[in-house]
Amino acid sequence: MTTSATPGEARSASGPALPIGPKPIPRRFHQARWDEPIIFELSTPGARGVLPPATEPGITALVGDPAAALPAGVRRSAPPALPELSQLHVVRHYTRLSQENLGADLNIDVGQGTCTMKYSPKVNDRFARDPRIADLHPLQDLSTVQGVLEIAWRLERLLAEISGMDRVTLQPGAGSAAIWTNVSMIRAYHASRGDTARDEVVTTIFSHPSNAACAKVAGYKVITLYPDADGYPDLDALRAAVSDRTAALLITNPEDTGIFNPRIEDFVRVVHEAGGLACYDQANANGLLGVTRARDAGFDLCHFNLHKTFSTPHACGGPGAGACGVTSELARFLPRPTVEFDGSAYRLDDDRPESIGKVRPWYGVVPNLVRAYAWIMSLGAEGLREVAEIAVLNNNYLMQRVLEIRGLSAPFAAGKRRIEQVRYSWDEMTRETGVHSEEVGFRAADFGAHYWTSHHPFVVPEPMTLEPTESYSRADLDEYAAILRTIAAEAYADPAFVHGAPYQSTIHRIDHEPLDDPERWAVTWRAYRRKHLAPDPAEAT
Amino acid sequence: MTDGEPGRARAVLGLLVNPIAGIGGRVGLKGSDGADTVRRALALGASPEAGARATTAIRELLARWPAPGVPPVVLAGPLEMGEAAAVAAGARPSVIGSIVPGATTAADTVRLAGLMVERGVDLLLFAGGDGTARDIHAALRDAPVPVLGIPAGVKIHSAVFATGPAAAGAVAAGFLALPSGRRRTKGREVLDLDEEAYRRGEIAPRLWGELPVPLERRRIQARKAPTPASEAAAVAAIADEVAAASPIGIRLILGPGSTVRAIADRLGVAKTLVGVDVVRIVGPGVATLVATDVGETELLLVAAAGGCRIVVTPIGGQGFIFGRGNQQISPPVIRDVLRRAGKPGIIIVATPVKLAAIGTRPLLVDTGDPALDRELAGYAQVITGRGERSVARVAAA
Repeated sequence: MTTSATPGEARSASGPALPIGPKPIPRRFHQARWDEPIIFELSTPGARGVLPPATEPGITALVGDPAAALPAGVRRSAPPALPELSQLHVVRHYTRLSQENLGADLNIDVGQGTCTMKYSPKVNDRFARDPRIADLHPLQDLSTVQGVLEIAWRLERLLAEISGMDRVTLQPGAGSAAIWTNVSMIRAYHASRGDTARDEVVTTIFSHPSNAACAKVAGYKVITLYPDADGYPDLDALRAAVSDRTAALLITNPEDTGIFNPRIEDFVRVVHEAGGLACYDQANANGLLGVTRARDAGFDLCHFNLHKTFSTPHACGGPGAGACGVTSELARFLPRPTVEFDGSAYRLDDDRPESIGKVRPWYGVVPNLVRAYAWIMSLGAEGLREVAEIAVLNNNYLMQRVLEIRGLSAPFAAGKRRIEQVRYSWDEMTRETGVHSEEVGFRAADFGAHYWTSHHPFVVPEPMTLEPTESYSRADLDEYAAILRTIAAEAYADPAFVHGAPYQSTIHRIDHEPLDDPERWAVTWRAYRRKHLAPDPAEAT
Repeated sequence: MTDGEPGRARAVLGLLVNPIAGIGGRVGLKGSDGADTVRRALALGASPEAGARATTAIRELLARWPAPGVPPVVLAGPLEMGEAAAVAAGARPSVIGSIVPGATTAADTVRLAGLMVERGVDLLLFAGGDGTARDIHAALRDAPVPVLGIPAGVKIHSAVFATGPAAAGAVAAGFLALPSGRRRTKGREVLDLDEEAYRRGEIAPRLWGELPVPLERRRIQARKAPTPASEAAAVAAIADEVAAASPIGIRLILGPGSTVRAIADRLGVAKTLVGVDVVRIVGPGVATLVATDVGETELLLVAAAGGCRIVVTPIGGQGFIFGRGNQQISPPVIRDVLRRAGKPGIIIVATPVKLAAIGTRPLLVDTGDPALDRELAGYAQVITGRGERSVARVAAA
């Protein structure tokens, strides 16, 4: 690099200026695009990553065939059809794929509303990877794992305090697993009373969709309530939905619109009067920590996604973790074993005859329990409340900024502030320019920003959901707002340009249709070969 | 429409423009049907835009045509009914039929569309609104060819339109560039409002039928489902639920609409799309047809025998479940079913996507009997899938 300015560049009186100007916002970005094949396509017969030395004859003579120690039922009749590659080629393949990603450590990740990942402090990863945690074996004698049991027990007490509930289980392996656990406990509760006719669960269209999905998987019929004209959950619709068939209400508050349901206690009361239980989905409790508690609104059960509210990695980026909180009346149905403390030692209580059983082997996802515990302890009670306050402040600041953008609105609850996220609508821009919300997302990728619309179905037309959490700075939020403002201006000036996006991102337009079609979806290489690489009869003729 | 390289025939595109489509919109006339309306619109300063929109579509089609293929042959209506738009886009169209310039009517659309089908087009691209779609549907009733609408009208409720002119060109290019054996279409609904009523402020959608439209996920209007495949699965799940919940011996009065027709399909019965049909459940998930395309008189006889349920779905985006497009299910019919079976006698079905499109607005009833409308108002459960229902508000229109 030369230190002298080239002709035409600005010079100050004191000498040549550095050839560095302020960076433009939104930033110039170009992602790697490797056109990388699927790893199976890279396979070369005979290629190997590591060639371990052959077993010495003496050892073979002593041990025999190690596979013979396995029961016949778990032995393969033929080796697995894995791709054959050298170590270099494996490393190169996955490094390339990692460059074609937009992770939370790379971009201003506020565009994944309802699911925005807050920053996960790196020191907590050190705790989780510490050999004293990472090298534990789940079959170790309890006397040798008192430390990890203490972490589980203390984390349970912390989450009980945060939710107001009496007991908590940390066994579920993710948020949806926690909801499924709650639904299972709801069924056990009604069954224990001989009340077996209750086969319906009520939820709302703007609640976390895992509520409906988990209830369905657990065998319940699902009744979904639509909002009233102002976007609030409709209390009269709830009254019309509950009956002696109602097992429970599974509801999120604030809902995915970011609007807090001011009649939540009425919702709980109506369901209780019908004989059902009330279950609070607190997968995302970012706006509530230290402010309000599930128990205080009368709920019988609740759950947290530790990876959502308590900073641990998401299931897609590492194992998730869920926690369920229940009242003392329901504690007997908790998954077994529970962690108990008698004042001197920690133990696992497996003698729980009314328990719904195990929902996951062993203790839960221990590394994430460690991370969540460390995160809570580093903040303390006041820090948790500050997290919620900053999350709400960030959200309302971002809302103010982006609502200055032409064509964007925040439907429902006019004049009311939102809690921790907002479901916006580009409906006006779409009608005026033909550019859809989904295409705003394609274009946002050109600026290195992730973007999400909404769950289906789209009740809010042309939706966009943003959630800043407490992790992002004001400068980050300004940059994200600038990206959206730029895209909206492009849509009004030259819609065809936005229709053609993305230009600088790895991923271009993907046809989702085959992903919804059992005839065409392919979740394994074998299925892909069978469904897509077989000769096309139409072409063969 | 023959296949195979290198002697593969060039694709043939039909282009038809309704030159007065949309003319009433900008001047607030809510439509352009009828010569009086057109005169009023022109007097109010309206200018035709359908031609320019068609030009945009054809320009996009040519720009998107994959090199090195030969672009399609364009068969266009004369002058302002297609020719001018195609020429402005840089195409060299063959002109079909003749018109009186400046005085075109719906009859021209029907006649020219018929001529194009006779000549053989692989795709009929038309610029207009719901009324034009209805005319095309009338012309193609006996010989449907794939069609795609360039939205240029005031009313765009039918699902046969692309999201915009450029999108129409892009879809057409993608569709015609495929070998004919690989072009996929899907039947989509043609809806139109009664314009006289619409101008009076009443919304009266009517389902006229279906037209085959290129299967394209993103660029067709009313795409609010994740994908067509997921929407088809949702409809099938509703059909399963109704089939499973219908005891043997019961008779179902099936209203219009493709969601209700899917229930008939599931029960092994062919149902009319726009008519009201009656089926009888004869076995688990199996029905026989009792009567097809029936009127009020027959329905009264059916209802009087008892053991009846009415199955309806909201038509179009307005959310009407009674009183629009299914007036055969008249107040006496509804009352009789209600008297014998109570509210469970009325089964409302809708995919989650359709309910979401209605959003926070209520489902509407306008049976012509205000007392019955009040009785039907309140909250109703809507079957949205297998073991899935939603609670929707119902209000008198």
